[in-house]
Amino acid sequence: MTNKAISVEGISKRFGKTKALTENFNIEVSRGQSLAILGANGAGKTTLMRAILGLTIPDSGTIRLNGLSPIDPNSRAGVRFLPERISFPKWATPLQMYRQFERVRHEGREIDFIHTAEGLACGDLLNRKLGKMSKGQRQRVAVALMTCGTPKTVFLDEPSSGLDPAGRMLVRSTVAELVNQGSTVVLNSHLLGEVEKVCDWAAFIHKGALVAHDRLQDLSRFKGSVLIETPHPDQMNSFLGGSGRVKGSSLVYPLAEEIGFSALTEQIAASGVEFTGIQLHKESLEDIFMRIIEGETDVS
Amino acid sequence: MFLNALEHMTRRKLLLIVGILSLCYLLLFWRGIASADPQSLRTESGVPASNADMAFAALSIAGSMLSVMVWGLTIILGASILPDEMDAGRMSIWAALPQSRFKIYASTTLAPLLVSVIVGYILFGFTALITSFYAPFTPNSIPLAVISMPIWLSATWAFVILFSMIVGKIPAMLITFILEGFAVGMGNMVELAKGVPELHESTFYTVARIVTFILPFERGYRSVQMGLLPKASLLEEALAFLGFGGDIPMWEVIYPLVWASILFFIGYRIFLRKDL
Repeated sequence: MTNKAISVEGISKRFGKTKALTENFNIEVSRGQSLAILGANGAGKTTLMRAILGLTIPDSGTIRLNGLSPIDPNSRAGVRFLPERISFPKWATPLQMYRQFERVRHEGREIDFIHTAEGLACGDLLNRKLGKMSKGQRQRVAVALMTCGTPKTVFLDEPSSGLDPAGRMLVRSTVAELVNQGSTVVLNSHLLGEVEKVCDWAAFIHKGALVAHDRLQDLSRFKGSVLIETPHPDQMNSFLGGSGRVKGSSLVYPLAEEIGFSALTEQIAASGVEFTGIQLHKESLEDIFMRIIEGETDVS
Repeated sequence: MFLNALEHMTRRKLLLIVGILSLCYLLLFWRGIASADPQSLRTESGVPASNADMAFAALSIAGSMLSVMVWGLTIILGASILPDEMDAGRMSIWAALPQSRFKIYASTTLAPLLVSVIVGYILFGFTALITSFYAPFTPNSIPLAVISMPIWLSATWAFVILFSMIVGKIPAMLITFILEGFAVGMGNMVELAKGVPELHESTFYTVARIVTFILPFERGYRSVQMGLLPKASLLEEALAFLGFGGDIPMWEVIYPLVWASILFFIGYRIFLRKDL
């Protein structure tokens, strides 16, 4: 069995005159990897996800899902997909929906679904009709339906859509659990904070083209400064020569090169000024997103 | 997947409405035929009508009403099954599971056909049963009626399923209703011509034949009626004007099924290439 869960080679897709995915779109996802697909609205993220699953037929190129063409139903064994927009039948309860899915996928146990639902704080809704639930409750149920058990590969398109902060946190921990148990996770989300905590890889799509694909830590650049957390930022600034910028109870101190970090830490330690932390000021995912997608270079 | 689609079908409020309407209809039909006086019925030559004549009249008139109901149900269920699943986003979930597109297409679309056929059997079956209770008669051929029911409805079903993917739910319903009305009108003309030989010569008859060949929606219905109607009835000739005259050759019974199968596979080819 191939180590690649997903392999995309040179695919392109057009919807009428609109190019959703440009030519020579290549991406590979190894088993157990958690990949975030990021990009602005209409960049082609959902199209890519759907093409991988065989829901959208690309105009050219090759896709392999679990080593097989997505046309082959066996490629989707153990695969789950949560679309961004889903409307369950109003008459159905979550348990009825689970049983409907299991009639086709034959891979889970009802107890696993109940446990996942409990983890998403919707365990008490399993016998309530979906038509009588709020949008957030239905979304939690949808996430539970698609993440329960031990799926091989999970595709989640905006799983936190319509959820309150508590719900988003629960979804995040559910996805993190999937990653920990070895499932391959492909996540499409605009909540970059959520993505940062769950995924270790990111693919940036801009106007249908793949503009960056790497580990998150490798995508994050040094921002040319060090963040020193101290109750006396002014005092620390004077000691270091006054070129820093006080920001609340911390000091942002410019550093020409990343390699000068250890020398600076020794200098800070020798200052005698109390401090609680020193860290290299690296880009957050939001910074990376803005740099890559929006072309901005200085985001603080 | 078929069970899922069937479950979804049977939970629709529409089916409950159809169930209530069917029950009301059957009760009214029962009351009507129970109070009918066979002695008041006369043939053209003044001979009192027999039980078979009464059954013929009752079944042919009731059949027109029933056919509209069953046709309507087939059109509404058939036109909405695929667009509803796609619009709700459920189709993408089904298609992302380990099953082929053919399985999804066939399982999903066969459910409304099965529901319509069952409703058809219930309505036509109970109507014939109630009729036979008050006016005992021997049907022409029960097997013909039984076999023809799915054949009849499959033509409408395949057509509306195909068009629902091309033009959407509501336009598909309207197109099918309009074309069916047209095809039924032309079908009546063809049947009428069996009793009026001069009509065979007219261009209008040729047009009517071509229409019923291109759109064989009503051919199967006539087979159902032919199977259910009494074997011997003096009213037969007079009722030719209602569109039930003469015999139906076997190829005409089978033809709508072949036609529906072709449309079903064209629909599958479209579904296969569709972005879900």
